[in-house]
Amino acid sequence: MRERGSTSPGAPAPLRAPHVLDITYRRGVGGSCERFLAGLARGEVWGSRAADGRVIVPPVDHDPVTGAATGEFVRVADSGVVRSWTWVATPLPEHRRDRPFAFALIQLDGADTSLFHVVEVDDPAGMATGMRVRADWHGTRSGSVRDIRTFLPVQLPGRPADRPPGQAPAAAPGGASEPENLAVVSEVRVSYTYEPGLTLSGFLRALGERRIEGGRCPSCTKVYVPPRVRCPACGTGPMTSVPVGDRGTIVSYTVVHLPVAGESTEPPFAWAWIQLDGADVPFAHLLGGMPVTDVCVGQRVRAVWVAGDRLAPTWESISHFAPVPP
Amino acid sequence: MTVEHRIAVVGFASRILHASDGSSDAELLAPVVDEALAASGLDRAGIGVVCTASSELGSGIVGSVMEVYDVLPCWPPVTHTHLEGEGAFALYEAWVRLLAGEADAALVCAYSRPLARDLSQVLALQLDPYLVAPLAPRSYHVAALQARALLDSGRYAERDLAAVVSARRTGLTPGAVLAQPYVAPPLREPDCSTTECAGAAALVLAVDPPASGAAGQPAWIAGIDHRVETSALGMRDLTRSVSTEAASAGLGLRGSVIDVLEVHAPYSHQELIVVDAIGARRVGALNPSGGVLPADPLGVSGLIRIGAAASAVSRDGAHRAVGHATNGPCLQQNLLCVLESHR
Repeated sequence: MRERGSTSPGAPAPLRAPHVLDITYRRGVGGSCERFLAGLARGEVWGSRAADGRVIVPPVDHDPVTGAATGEFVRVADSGVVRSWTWVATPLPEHRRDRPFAFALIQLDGADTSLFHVVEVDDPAGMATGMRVRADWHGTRSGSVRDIRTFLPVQLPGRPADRPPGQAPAAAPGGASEPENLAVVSEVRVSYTYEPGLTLSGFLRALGERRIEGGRCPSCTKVYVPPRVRCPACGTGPMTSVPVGDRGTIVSYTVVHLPVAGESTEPPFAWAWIQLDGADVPFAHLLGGMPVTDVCVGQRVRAVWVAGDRLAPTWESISHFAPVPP
Repeated sequence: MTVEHRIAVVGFASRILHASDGSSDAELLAPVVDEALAASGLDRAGIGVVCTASSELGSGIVGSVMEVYDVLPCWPPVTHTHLEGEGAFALYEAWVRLLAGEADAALVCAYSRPLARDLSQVLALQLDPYLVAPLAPRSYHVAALQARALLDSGRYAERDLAAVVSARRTGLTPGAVLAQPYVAPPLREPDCSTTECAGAAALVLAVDPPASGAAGQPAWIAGIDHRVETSALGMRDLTRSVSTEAASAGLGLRGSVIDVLEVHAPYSHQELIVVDAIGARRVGALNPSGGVLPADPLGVSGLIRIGAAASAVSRDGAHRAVGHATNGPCLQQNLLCVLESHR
C-alpha cells in the first residue's frame, strides 16, 4: 500500500493501492446463438423466426416478450440498413482498431431486428441513419461476432458491384471449417484503486512501525484485531485504538501441503488462528521456525518482523509467527 | 402490483462524496444507517429484515459486503440478503418480505465507491458476452445509440437534451451544453451522469402500526412495480421504455396526477423517455432533488430517488410522489415506487 492522497490536517492520509481484476472466461455457447456464430464462421448470417413471423437477428431461442419458442432458422443477407449509430473518434486499446469508426445497430435485409456491430467510414459525416452497409468478412473465421471485421458503406452506383445479398464470401484458406466446441473467450481486465478505509489504514500503518493496533468497543469493551468500524456484536462505534502485544496463542491451525497460486511460501507450511495477548478475537497468519508436525493448539507464538528497511503498511511486515522459547 | 397492506417509509438518509475521503464501504455507510434509524424512531433491535445492494465489480472487491455487516443491525441474526445491483431492487425485496409477514420493520441499504479507474468499462460487462461485448463498446456508446434513435424519431431534438442537462446541472445553459464536443454523438459529456462519486443510502420500512408511531409523517407505499426488458438491444424499440410503461400502467399512474416525480436517468435523453413512459397527466415537480446527472453513485442513485420521493411526502406535503430506478444498458430494467401521504 502506498501512502498518498489528501485528508484533513492532522489526520494521517488514507492508504491507497492499485488493484487489477484479471479474469478470463471461456464460455460455451449453445442454442440459437451457437447456430448464429457457427454461421458466421461459414460467412453466413442466420436468424430465427418468431411465432409472429418476425425474423430475429441475432437469433434468440425464445421471444423475450411472449416466452414462446422461436421456430425455423432463416438465412438473411449480410447487408442492410443502419438504424442508429454513434462515433468513436479515438479507439480504445480493447477495440483493436487503428482508425475511428462507428458503433451501429444494423438491420440486415430479411431481418426484423438489428445487429450491434461496427461501421468503418472515414469520418462521422459519412454516417447516417438509413444508410446501406455490407459486411466485410475476415478471411479466417472462428465463430465469433468479430468474424465480420466491420460493415462498410455500400458502394455508390458506378463503383464495382457488391455481392448479391445472401451470397457467402469466398472461403479463404482455413476459413471454411466448422468450429468444434464453439466457445467465446472473454478477457475481463479492470483496473481499480483500492482504498482500505480510515480504520484499516491506521492498523496497516502501525504494522509498518512494528506495532499491532487493536480496536476496543466503547460499549462491550471487546478488543478486535484488526480494529472494526463498528463492534460486530453490539453495533457501537467508533472503536478506541489500543496497542496489543505481538505475542499470542494458537487457537486453531491447518497445514498446507499443496502449492497455492500467488503464495510464495513453499509447502508444507502451517497457517494458524492466533489470538494476541490483549485481544478478544484471533486472526490468521503464517507459522514458521518449527516443523509443521510440532504445531499444536495452545502453543505460545511471537511475531517475527521483517528487517527494518522492509517494514511497510502491510500484513507482510510480520514475516510469520514463531514459537516462544520456553 | 398494488396492495392494501400498510407499509411505509419511516426513515431515509443518504450521502454523496464527490471526492474520496478515504472511507471504506462500512465507514461510508455507518452514519447513513444511524441517521435513517434515528429518523424512523426505531432502534437496531426493531429491524427484522436487512436488504443491501452494492456492486462488487464496481469496487473490485469480491465479497465486500462482509465488511459492512458490522454497521448493519444483523446481530442477533436477522434475515439479511445482499444483491449485486441497484438498491431500489433491494427495497422491493424488503417490501415483499414485510408483506409476507417476516418482520415489522426492514432496513434497506446501498453503497458504492468509484474505485474502478473507468466505470464505463465495468458497466459494459453487463452487455451480451457473446454478441456485443467482443466489440468492446463502453456504456456511453450504447446509450448514444438510444439517444440517436430518439432524435431520429423526431420527438425530440438535441436542444431538448440540452434543456434537460441545463435543468439538472447548475450554471449550465442549453447553449453552453450544445457548445461542448461530443463524447459519443449525439451525447456530450454533460449529457452523461457523473459517476465518479461515492454514495450511500439507507431507508427504513415499517408495517403499521409501528409506522404510525415513528417520528415524522410516514410515506405509505401504494405499490412497487419492477420490469425488465430483453438484453438483445437490437430487438428493443429504444425510443420507448416499454418496461416503464408496463410498470406505470400496473400502478395506475398513466393519466394520473403525480405531485413529485424523481427520475433516475443516467443520460439526459433517458429522462425524456422515462417521463413519457410513465405518462402522467400532470407532474407537479420533476426531480426536485436535482436528478442524477450531477452525481450518480452506482447502484445507489435509484434508492436515493425513492428516498427523495418519500421525503417529498413525509416532509414537503406531497400527496403522491413517485420514485424511479433503472439499471442496465439503455434503461433495460425499471422500477417505479408510489408513495402517498394517505394509506
